[in-house]
Amino acid sequence: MIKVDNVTKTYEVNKISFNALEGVNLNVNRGEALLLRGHSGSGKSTLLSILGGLLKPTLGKVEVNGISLGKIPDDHAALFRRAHVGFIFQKYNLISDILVFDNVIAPLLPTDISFKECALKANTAMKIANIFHKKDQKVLTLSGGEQQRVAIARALVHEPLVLLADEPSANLDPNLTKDFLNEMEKIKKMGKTIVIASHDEILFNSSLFDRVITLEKGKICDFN
Amino acid sequence: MILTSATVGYLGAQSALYALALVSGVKAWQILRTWDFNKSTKEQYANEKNAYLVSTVIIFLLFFKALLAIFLIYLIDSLTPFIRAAMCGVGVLNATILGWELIFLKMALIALFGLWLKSDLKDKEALDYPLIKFKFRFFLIILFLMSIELLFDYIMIFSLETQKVVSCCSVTFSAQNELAGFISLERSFVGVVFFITALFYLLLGVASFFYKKAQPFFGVFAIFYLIVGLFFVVYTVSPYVYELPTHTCPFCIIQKEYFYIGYLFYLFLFMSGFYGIKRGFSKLFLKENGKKDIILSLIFGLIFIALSLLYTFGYYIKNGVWL
Amino acid sequence: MNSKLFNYALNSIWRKKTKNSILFFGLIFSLTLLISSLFTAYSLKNMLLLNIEAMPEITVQKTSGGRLENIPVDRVWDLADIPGVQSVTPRVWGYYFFTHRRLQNDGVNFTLVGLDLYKDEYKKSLKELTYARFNSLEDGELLLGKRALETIKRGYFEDFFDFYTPNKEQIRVPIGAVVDGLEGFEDSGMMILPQDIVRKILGVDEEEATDIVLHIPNADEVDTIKDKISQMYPDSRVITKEDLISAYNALFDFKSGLFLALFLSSSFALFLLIFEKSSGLGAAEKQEIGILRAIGWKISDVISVKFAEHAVLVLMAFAFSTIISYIYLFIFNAPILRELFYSKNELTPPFHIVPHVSIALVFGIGLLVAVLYLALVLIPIWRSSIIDPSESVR
Repeated sequence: MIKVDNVTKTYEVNKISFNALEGVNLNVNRGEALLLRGHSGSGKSTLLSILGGLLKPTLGKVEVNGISLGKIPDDHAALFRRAHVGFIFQKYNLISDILVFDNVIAPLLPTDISFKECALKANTAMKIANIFHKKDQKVLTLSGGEQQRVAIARALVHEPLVLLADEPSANLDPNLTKDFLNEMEKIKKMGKTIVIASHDEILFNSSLFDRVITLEKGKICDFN
Repeated sequence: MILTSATVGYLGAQSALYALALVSGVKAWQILRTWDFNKSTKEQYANEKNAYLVSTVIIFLLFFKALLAIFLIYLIDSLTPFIRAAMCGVGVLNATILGWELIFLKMALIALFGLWLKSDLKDKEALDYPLIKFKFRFFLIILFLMSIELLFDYIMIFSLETQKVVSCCSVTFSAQNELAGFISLERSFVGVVFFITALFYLLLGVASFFYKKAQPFFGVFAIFYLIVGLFFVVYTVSPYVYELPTHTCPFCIIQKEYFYIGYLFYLFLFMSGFYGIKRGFSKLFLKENGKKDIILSLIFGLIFIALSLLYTFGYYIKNGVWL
Repeated sequence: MNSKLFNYALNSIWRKKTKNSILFFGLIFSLTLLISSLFTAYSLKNMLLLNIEAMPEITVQKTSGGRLENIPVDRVWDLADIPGVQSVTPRVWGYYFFTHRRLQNDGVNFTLVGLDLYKDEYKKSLKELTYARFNSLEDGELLLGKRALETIKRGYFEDFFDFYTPNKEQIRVPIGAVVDGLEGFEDSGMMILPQDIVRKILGVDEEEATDIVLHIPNADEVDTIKDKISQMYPDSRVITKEDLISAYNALFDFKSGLFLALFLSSSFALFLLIFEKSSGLGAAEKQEIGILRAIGWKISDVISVKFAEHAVLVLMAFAFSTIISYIYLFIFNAPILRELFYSKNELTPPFHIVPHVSIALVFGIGLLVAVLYLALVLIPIWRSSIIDPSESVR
């Protein structure tokens, strides 16, 4: 499902280059749930972004669902994100002054699918994420946990095979984190591949994950 | 110089569009110099983003330049009262310097924009921008032609003289004239030449449908077919539209009196020729195979011919004689 | 661009009401100024052209050393012999400068028109006036419009008016009637008198006339006849109706064009403002674009939406401005602006402009406005659309 082959990501800041990721190798099977563990600066968010087609690797090869994510044009990366990957961002990144429904349906707007069908998909996604009852509310008015569920719905609306989440429990209390993990169990049962990046110990102890990988200073140092 | 709100507005709009194209040209030049898709540098990422600007600008230009070209026709017609003895746009154009050349240049530019957009679409399908250098060299050629066009625009408007006595269309396009001094422009002769050309074009089209190697020839011949088609509209068809044997004018047929039918004639002829050129271009430069353009070209061509027959044969059937 | 994205664009305009309102009203302000000026000029031009229709086909004047002189009346016979000429009428008229310190600019120019009581006038309105006021004119009385009367009243004239001939001779003329409804606004400065009195006032001999007008029923013959007259009398200045029409067209279009050129250059400041406003994206907007790109929108999708936002704004502003301009012209009669395009002296009455706007004019202005505005915002739109999605989602 996901193949990462000797990937390096180099950044240049004030003419000094540093490697956010160095020689990372990884394989994730279909239906698997993987936890990327590590402190901030370890490169886990960078790796997740590369898997999501948001960043391009400097060296190495990445393949997700058969699609090569090396150096591809912006448009192709966008089409990839639109079809294959659902991303739950750390700060949720919802558009706050529009409704829940409008946020969830947003990834489908540029596609050729009719509005009616888009609405159907959006409603399904919101039901899965358990936020359907708030569909006509503005995102501003929702609590942290509710906003996350909107983010989950949006990540599911286009029925991607891969779900990526970056520090999903960062803004949640332990109870909400548990709710989140339950949601993920539901989604895993749907057959989706899940990769979550987090340094939260609660997730580390969760039974959701088939594997845990630890990253430090851009390198994988522990496969579990 | 005739200063009217229409001329000032027109020049303003053309200049604004040129400014956009110029900015894009600078970026295109940068891209050509430093493009290396395999690099992951900041400069290369900037190149990819700038490539987007050029595409967007050209789509914008194509749309608005086509509208402005139609506006120019209106503008030229509106200047008729200012020029002595001018009775329609032909008279006005005759009173200008480079007016006719400008019209043809505009038509060519619109076709070139269309071809450029085709290259752009093809380029974006691939993952590594295989046509990037070709596209931007092509764009720089277009930019050069746009510079000439803008210059011609200003010269044409500023050279308009109210006191110049000009020939009207019947004299300019008289069938008594001869093309290059020896080719007759007599009505039936031009008609026959066009039909032979069209027939040959059709045959080439069919051949291109089955033999891909014929497609570049189809594209090149389309240009000749377009030119002959224009003569056909002016010298053979227009008298039948006016129902007057001496009235051969490319301009009057787009006027209200004749129900703007001229626009349809020119549109279908242009579309027919353009799709032929596009197929030849795609095969030759983009190495792309396809048949849709051939079919479209032939369909538009048939509609054009049907319209011409409607007026010419229609007249014969109505009146029992030819003009 | 599909309909879903278009709806998103409309929604987006509404969401950013504050920023868009400033832009919207700014556009309406400058567009209204532009469109009402063009409408006013265009309508005035058409009105004047209609007026010219009533004028004679050819007017013949005599020049000497480049200056106009009175023309010998006996030229009338030779002119009448030209084939195609239906009637020949010598006219006696001129400008009379009435000076008084109580008047604006210390004086006004009246147009004195001398009517021949026993011969048909070339202009229908004057012909009818002659019939209607025959008795008054026969008694040597003055006919004038309401404004002219008010003007001379300022000079303390009530029942009569004093003219002074070139020989400083005083001619006292009783006021016969105030004639309203004289066609067109040009006539407001007219003073109508019997021809022999006007001759005395202006110093035009019996054998002379101010000019000679010809009526030629077949418009196609006018140019030929003009050439013949020029050959017959090389010292004559021959003005055809076509010449007048061209001149008026040129004048109005020139004024419009000049106005437009000035407007465009002075609007440059406004355009720069628009440019700045569009370029400077707020943090919220930048983030929104970043989010959309991150969830799978292509750069071209973002550009389409932003472009649609601006296109809808400018087209709506244009529509509103057109309606406001039309109301300004049609209902309020274009105050202030009409002075810009047509100003005479204080005798110009408050005339009613007939709105005369064509679809082509509106479409043409719309096209040019759209092109200029959208060309201006295209680069800022592109710049905002290429925001790196990965940066904005960190």
